[in-house]
Amino acid sequence: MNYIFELMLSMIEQEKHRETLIFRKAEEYSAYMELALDCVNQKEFHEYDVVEINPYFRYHEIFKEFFANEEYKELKQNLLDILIHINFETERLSGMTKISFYQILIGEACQRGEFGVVVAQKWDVFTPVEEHIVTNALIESYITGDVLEICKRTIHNFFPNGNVYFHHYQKEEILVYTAVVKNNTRVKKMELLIELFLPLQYEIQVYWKNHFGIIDVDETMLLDQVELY
Amino acid sequence: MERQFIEEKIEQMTSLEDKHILKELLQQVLGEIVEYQKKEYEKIRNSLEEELLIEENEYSLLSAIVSREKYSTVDSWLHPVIEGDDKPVKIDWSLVKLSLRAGMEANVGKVFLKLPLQEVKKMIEEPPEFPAVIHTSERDLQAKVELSFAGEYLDKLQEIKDAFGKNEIRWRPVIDAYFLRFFDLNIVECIDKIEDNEELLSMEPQYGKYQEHILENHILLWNLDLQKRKTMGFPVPQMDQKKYRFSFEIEKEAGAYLVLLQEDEYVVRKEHKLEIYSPNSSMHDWQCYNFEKKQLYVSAISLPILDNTIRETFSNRMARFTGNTIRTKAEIERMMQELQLEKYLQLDGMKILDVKEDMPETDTIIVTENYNSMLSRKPVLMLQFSGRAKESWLEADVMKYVLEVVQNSYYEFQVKGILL
Repeated sequence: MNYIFELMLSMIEQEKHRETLIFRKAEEYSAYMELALDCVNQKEFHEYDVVEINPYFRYHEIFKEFFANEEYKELKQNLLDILIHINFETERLSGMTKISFYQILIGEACQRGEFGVVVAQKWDVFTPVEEHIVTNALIESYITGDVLEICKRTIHNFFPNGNVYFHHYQKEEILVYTAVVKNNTRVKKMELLIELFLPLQYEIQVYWKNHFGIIDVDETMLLDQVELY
Repeated sequence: MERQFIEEKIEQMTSLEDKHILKELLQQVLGEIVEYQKKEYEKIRNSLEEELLIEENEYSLLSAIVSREKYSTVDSWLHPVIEGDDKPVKIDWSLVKLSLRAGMEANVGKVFLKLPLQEVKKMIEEPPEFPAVIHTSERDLQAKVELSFAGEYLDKLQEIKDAFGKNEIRWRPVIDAYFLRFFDLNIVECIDKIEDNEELLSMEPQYGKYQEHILENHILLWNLDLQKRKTMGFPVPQMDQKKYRFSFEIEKEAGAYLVLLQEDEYVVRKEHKLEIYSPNSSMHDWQCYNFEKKQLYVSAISLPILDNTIRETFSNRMARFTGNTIRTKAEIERMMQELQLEKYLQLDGMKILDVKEDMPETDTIIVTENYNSMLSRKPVLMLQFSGRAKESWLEADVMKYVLEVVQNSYYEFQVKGILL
């Protein structure tokens, strides 16, 4: 991790209060990195962590005179902390596109129950990253009108090791192998995806840890690990 | 980010002097920056929402029922569907007497029936008869009255629908419940003989079990105002040497306009102007319907206002803007909330039935009105509703409207509904 915004975005993803982070000017730092971490590969941060930074990396023009002398040391450190937080918000907002605003608005609509009570009640089960995937997929489906492909892709995003099969013979059906153990949260997520993206004429069968057996595909025919179709 | 966050940071400082300086800084600069950021964010967000306006709402059609005496309280924005309906009804009893003596039926007004759709449909097919008493200057006479469907209201609705087509504006289904429930009250027979010297004074029908469902002296209103508009200047000959252009300005505050056009005429909408192209070069007034904007609830109105306005939320705006309907359960739920009918109906579930599958046999099933033979070969999308309305007799009409809206978007299905 190199930049302050990387750290802040990871806090948002982990649903942690980023405002609680305390930024301080590091005594020793690399001229090539904005974050002056003890461990270069540090990825885990917690609320109220003190994070040392190199304020000259991107903001040399602003801070070059600021720390020139030792006067008001605590005040300057605190001011730096506040300015870095404010600056991150500016950066975050300036990086927002029209679609990111649409995503926020459509996410709020889902929470308000505009897409049904089921969606509103279970919406909290999504993490911010998953919310991002779902709202983006919803907007895309309105723009393209092609919900089937988007349904397949969204399920894949949620269960990257799984498979989605289409069954067009005799009836319209989607078979989903998630490759993960079934639990309450995952079931809720799957129910939400079905509600939001499954085309009306399709039926769906969900397989969790075990794949359904396919003749001549040995990986699916393991003893005691075969689901019936 | 809130201003409060900076205050918390300052509180954590140990030096009192530093705290003081930072607090001053906060008041003068930092707080303002945070507030500015917040305002800018809101501004962009609102502008993006407003960018996707639902233009169809300019052409929303409202219908309401009001008693004739109370009409003056709503006449600034609601108008009688049939011109002159708001005037007091004067029955010419001498004419009634003449008609009855000649064996003809005589109309003595209109009534509104607060009955469920299926009963109303039965009444339209077989007009019901009721006993009545005619009070004369001498005695009481036994008579029979009939309620026959007053089709002029539906004709008016059809006229508007045609005008939408000619004005090249997409017609959206409306809740026609009130248009279907006006019946002409006709005296069909006077059982007792009317003597020459007898003067008919009044009549009292006995509706029996229907008594409580009948509203007398009520009129049907809508938000359309029929206006005659003069065009500006002389008609301008067009390059095709066939048509002339007439134009008139539209006031900023006025609602949308629908021009009643003849064959070979068309209209072009500009920002504050309407241009009509006609082969007829003579100067004349143009008849237009002006859509009055919805106003606050008016207590004088006897029954709920029925309208087809789309709820202005971001998801609805987005769906309308892209013009695509996605085929999912959540989308049908969105369409339901878009129609703002939660006080009448609740969508309990939906099911797709194969055409070959047996349909549930119950008389609450209603097929959409635009049913056709092509549709009958498609799978059935059965929507299941439960009623919530205080005015439960309206539920079937509202469901019919919902089904029509869903059918317009889900053309690959036969959309049917069941009301439990």
